[in-house]
Amino acid sequence: MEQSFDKKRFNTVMNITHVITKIGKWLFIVAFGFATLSVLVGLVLMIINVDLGAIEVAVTEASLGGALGENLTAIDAILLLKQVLVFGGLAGMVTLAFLIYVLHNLDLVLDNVKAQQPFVHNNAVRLFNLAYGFMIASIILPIFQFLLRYQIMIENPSIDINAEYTLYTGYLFVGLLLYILAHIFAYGSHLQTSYDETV
Amino acid sequence: MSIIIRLDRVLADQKMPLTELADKTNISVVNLSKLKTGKVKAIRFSTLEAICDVLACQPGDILEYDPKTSE
Repeated sequence: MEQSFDKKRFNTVMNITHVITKIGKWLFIVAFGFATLSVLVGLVLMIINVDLGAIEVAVTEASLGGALGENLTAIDAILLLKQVLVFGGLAGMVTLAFLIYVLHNLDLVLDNVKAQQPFVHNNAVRLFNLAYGFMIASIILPIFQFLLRYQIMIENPSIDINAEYTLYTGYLFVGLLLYILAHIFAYGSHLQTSYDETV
Repeated sequence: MSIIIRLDRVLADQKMPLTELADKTNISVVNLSKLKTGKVKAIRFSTLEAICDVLACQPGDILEYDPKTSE
């Protein structure tokens, strides 16, 4: 028995996903800009060793010290802020760059789907790229998290924080799933080409 | 490919343009052109039937096998 295909629902889902992908991509690009700014500000503060003054010290103590529940000195608080700006910003930059890469590839795949060409070779290649991206990210992204925590741990002994490298197994699992899906799309592309070359 | 398409020969014998064949068979001119120039990998029986019906010919008139021809 032939199964019916709900084209209306498919189009609705694809359109919503496409819109969310486009909006998400631009939001992440903006966030990437802020993360870059954070790194630059942190580096500048570290290099020129700016004395932020009494007001900034008070604000830093109130926010960071209060959040961590520790009695940080003014100097510790400023140093922590600089580290968070640089290493936290760096971790944020790398994570956001990866997410932008994911959404950009997904956007291109959805463009082809909307053009009624889901099973083209380029889409299979993009899915392979996403799979490899997730697998690499599962190894690389935790490194930046580790660096941030390690830096805070080393420079601020008064803060109780653990610095351990932990593989992102969730990303690895998604990468493996996408790898399998990419092979299926590659086969689908092969079948589509055979169909297109049949009159 | 060892299968050679002789559609152009049959069309010339019957003095029928490709566009007329496309209209009568409901097959697009693009697809018939690809078939005529041998740029297809497969042909459906329904397509072959439609062409033979319009041209009043046999499939063997349109398709020829030559083992010496390589891809």
